[in-house]
Amino acid sequence: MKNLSMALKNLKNNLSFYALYLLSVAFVIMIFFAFTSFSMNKVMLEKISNDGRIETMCNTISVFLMAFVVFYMSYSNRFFLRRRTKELGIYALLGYRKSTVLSLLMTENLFTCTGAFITGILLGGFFHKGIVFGITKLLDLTVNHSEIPLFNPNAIMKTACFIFAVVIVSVLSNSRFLFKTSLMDLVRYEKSAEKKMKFHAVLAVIGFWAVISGYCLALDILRGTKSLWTTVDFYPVAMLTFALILSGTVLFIASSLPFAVQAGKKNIRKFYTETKIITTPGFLYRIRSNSRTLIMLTLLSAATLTASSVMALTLYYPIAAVSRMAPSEIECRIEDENEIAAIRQILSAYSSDTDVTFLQTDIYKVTSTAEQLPVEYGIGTSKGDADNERILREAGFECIPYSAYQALLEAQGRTKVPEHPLRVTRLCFRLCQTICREARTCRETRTGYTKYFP
Amino acid sequence: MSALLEAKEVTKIYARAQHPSLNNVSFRVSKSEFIAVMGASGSGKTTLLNVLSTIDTPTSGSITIDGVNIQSLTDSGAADFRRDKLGFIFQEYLLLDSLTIFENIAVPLTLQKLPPKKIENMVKSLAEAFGIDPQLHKYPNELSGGQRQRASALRAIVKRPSILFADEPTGALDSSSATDLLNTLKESNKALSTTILMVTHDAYAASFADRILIFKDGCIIRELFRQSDDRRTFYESIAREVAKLDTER
Repeated sequence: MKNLSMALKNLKNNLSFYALYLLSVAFVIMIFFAFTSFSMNKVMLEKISNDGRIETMCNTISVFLMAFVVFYMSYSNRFFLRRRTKELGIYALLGYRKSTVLSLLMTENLFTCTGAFITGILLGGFFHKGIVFGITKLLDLTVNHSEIPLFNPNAIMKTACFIFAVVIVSVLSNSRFLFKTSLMDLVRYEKSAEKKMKFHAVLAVIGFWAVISGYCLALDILRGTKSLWTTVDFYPVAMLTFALILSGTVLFIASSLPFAVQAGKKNIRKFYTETKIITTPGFLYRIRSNSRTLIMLTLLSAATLTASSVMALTLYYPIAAVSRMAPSEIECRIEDENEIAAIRQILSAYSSDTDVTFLQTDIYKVTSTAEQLPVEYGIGTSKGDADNERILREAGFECIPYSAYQALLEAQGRTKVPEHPLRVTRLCFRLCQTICREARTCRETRTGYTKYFP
Repeated sequence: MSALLEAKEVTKIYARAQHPSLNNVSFRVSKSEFIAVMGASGSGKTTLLNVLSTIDTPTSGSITIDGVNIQSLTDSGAADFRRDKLGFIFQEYLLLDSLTIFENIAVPLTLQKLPPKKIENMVKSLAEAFGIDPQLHKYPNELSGGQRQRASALRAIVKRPSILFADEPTGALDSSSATDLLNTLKESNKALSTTILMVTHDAYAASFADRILIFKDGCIIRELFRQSDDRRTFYESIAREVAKLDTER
């Protein structure tokens, strides 16, 4: 029997076993493809990003996503391989060379990954469309949906390359397992007697407190300006939290939990009951033989949660940003009133008066001498943080009335004025008012024009 | 008769064990001999099988099978050696669950790259000879333990190995299936002159062999030979020997 038909037979007869693997891989590919399509979607990016920031963020996230997927898949691949130790032993006994077994596993892997790839691309295409549809609905954007392909060929290429890399990684991980495990371990695969584990009281206590303090530290960020995250510094505290939670999780599962159960065993009167005498040693045994898997699963789900929340935040960021960014189609700032006439003249030379709507908005520049001011106050005022270093701006807040903001949106045909910016504007106004009260107010009138093409 | 397998002063010491599992064991197995290795659990009989069959490596000593010193083999060399020269039967059958019985038996021949037509004929005729042709197109989990073990025996025999290693082949079988399997082994030993080395703790299973090595604490302490063709007499002498060993314990 050839490797190919053997691999097919293995797949056919262990369908439920492989289905789990295939589905998880397909899901991961779906997310990856949808994300890649989104980051390659020029139509959408043009609408929501004007300075390449979204693209950079997409690229960073996709690297992170890729690393996570590779790790996840090689781990699950190893997990499935371990369940097949007996089968690998049979191959070895029959006289299969390790390299042949490896190519058999690779063939199987290629089939699963191809299946997962097709499923993932199909689902991911629709998922991406769904995201685009959701964003345009939410932000009330006018997007020509026919310009956005269901399957972006570039995204398919990128995903295919990625899947290829994943297959390579799993082949490497398989070969490491195969060549490291002796025939003796493959054939006589019964677990060798578990060593009796000693649970150290000190490690147990350290583990317990490390987890508690790690999570307390993480929650401390909620205290805002008073929290250690601001008073000390962000990065050292982040590293400390990470280290505490990581080491704490490992110690908590490997030492603290079993230590607590072990201690409970010493209470003889409570231990010798119908259920306790079974459950307590059973729990200890399971911890002993599976602590590593348990630790991995805990950390893996923590990583998944982190990755997905970072992704959700990143996807939300452009959504939130776009509603605040540039409420007009063409905007120009004018400091001298005479320029208005000049601009009207230029515009009328190129279009008739009926296509163009002018909106004039007063922008109030508010400055303050208060000691603590938000970062936005000073952005773009010094070299190094301005987009165009030749035009540096003066520090301050530029404010427009909410009614003017609404008028600008309505001029664009956006009937639904988003809730979120409303709150931001009100907040901004309140902030401005307080600043005004305590500081010298400089009122500088500027005039803005909005041209609107219906 | 020429020696097919020769073990010289084979010793195996496991890292954490206090006593060697095999202590200077030397013996020879002739071509087409059916030899049984007996002993209590922990006497070293399974270690002996592992070491002889390239599954494990001895700490010292030398093992030659069919003129090949098996310690000199590389990883792939050992795989090829198992493919061409060795057959295995284990207590837990070790059939591939996703293949039918027919395909399971055909795998060793496919590995030897025989022409497909020949493979089909060989599997069919062997199955007919040993009476498992009705089960050929079933999957292992559709069969009883006895039928599975018979299939695994045929998978070992079909490639005409130089030597067949059997590790407690009847351990998981009821008495009638065990008798069937032992008859299968005996038949292949007689008709196809397959050399068999069988590890067992069961005196009944051992009574099908021509010669018995009795192990204790990693050493061969006694050797029994079949005197007549009568299995029952041989069984009685083995049983006596085992009883004597038990009282000496």
